[in-house]
Amino acid sequence: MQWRRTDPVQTVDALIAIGASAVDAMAAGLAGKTGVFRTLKVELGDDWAVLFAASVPDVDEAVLPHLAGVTPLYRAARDFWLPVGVAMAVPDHARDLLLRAMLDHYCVALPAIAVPRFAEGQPNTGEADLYLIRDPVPFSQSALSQRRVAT
Amino acid sequence: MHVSAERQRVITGAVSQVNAHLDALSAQFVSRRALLELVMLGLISREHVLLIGPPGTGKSAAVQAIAASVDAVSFEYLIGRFTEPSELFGALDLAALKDGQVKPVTQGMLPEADIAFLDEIFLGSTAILNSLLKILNERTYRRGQYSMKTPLISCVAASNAMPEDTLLAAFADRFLLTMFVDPVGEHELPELLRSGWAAAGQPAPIAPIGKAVIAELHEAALAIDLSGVHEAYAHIVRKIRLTGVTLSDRKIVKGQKLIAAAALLRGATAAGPEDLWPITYLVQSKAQQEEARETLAAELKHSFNPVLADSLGHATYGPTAHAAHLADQATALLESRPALVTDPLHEIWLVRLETMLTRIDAAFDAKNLPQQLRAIRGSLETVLEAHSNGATAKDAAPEAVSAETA
Repeated sequence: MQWRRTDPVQTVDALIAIGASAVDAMAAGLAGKTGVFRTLKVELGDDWAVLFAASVPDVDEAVLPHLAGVTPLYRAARDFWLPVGVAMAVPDHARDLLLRAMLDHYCVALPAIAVPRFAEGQPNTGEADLYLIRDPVPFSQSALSQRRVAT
Repeated sequence: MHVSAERQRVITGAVSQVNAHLDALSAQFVSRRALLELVMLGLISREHVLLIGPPGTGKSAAVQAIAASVDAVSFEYLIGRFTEPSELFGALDLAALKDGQVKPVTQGMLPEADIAFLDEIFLGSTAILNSLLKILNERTYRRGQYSMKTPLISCVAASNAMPEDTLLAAFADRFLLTMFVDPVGEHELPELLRSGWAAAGQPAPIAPIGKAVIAELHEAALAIDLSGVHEAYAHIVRKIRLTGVTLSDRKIVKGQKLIAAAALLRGATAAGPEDLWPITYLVQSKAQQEEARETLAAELKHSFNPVLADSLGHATYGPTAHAAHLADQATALLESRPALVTDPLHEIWLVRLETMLTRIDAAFDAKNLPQQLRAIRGSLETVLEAHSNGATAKDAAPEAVSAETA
């Protein structure tokens, strides 16, 4: 699969923290937020965590907190997210097919997040890290909220 | 329209080849992928491209690179006020003249070129422009009774500015695609310097793409089914014309070739709403192109093309429009502040402010933050900080926003 940098004009739909310190910062940041943000769902992996936007009562739009050290994501396809400013560099008609082939190749399934690795200044890349979403739960009930207590 | 599997395979291969070719070419430049894509779109649709921008923005270098990387006969010339027609079209054949025939020696000259690049096009004399007009429109070069068909695929012309003279403007209208080329952004200067220094050596050679590949794609583009977009295209043309932009009937008819080529390079056999974005390049004024992008934000929001991603981004809702959109939304949000801090909606308002801040920071880092958003972002931060510090934030917004953004 090829990935390409593009204008970062997509609507942010999730935030991913990659690396232990970023995850700690996300946990700490979320714990200090208003209750509405603590109802948003998170998925915690090994040294990564993702927070998904959601609509809350009285607000038509999906909401997300402002957190430092995270990468904003957008929904590039059903159950598939990419960083804002990155797109799949494949023809439209082949996108779903190639996405499925890529997931099959690694014996994984959607929902998933791909974070391509770009060398500095390079507009394209063929390398990406995949993060699999399995059981997102509200932050307040998540291991991520406990993680902050532990630290 | 039915396309055989074998033919589809050939076309898909050609599209991949064009994509890889654009990747290799754009790697030699900073921020010129959109320009290269547009020239490629011109080649595939056999239409002419006009590049307008200040000197030193890499127009010539990019066009030279793409011309050199296509296995075709190219002709390049910097036109001046005193350029003679013979410098472009060839001098008279003296031997033929002795026999009473007026016949130019066109070998190696523009009439025999597949791709032409003419810098400072509008400095050409009337005689030059008249001959060019016939070549551009009819692919025919005529001198007196002498006439020949030219193999011209596409002519790319460059100028520092659009002409104000009406006759020259009419000539400029023959170029279907117009791109306004700006210097690279300040945040890209280090990359520009690195790239420029590397290019001072010998740029890596790029395997040329065959003229036959371009011809194959042109034929395939002509077979694209446009029936699904005629209504939407007509709607967009009406909308553009309502803003005061002159789009000739000839131009909008030819514009269909661009839509077809865009659909082809997307891998489709029928054009859809995602292929209408090249329309922006029909507009020949920088301000009006900008306006067209804004006006057509809704109509072109489905635009998609993995091969022509940058020229698409340039033609549609790009960072400038996104910044304006975010600024409008954020300003409206700041102005909708509930009167009482005890109002339950006040917390929701703060949540929405924070979401807006996240959206702004996702699109623009501190270095690239447009001026119009800088002040608004500052106000968002002030309100949120004041709230988190336990203050009422009463003085922070929206009055402060109005003052800062005025």
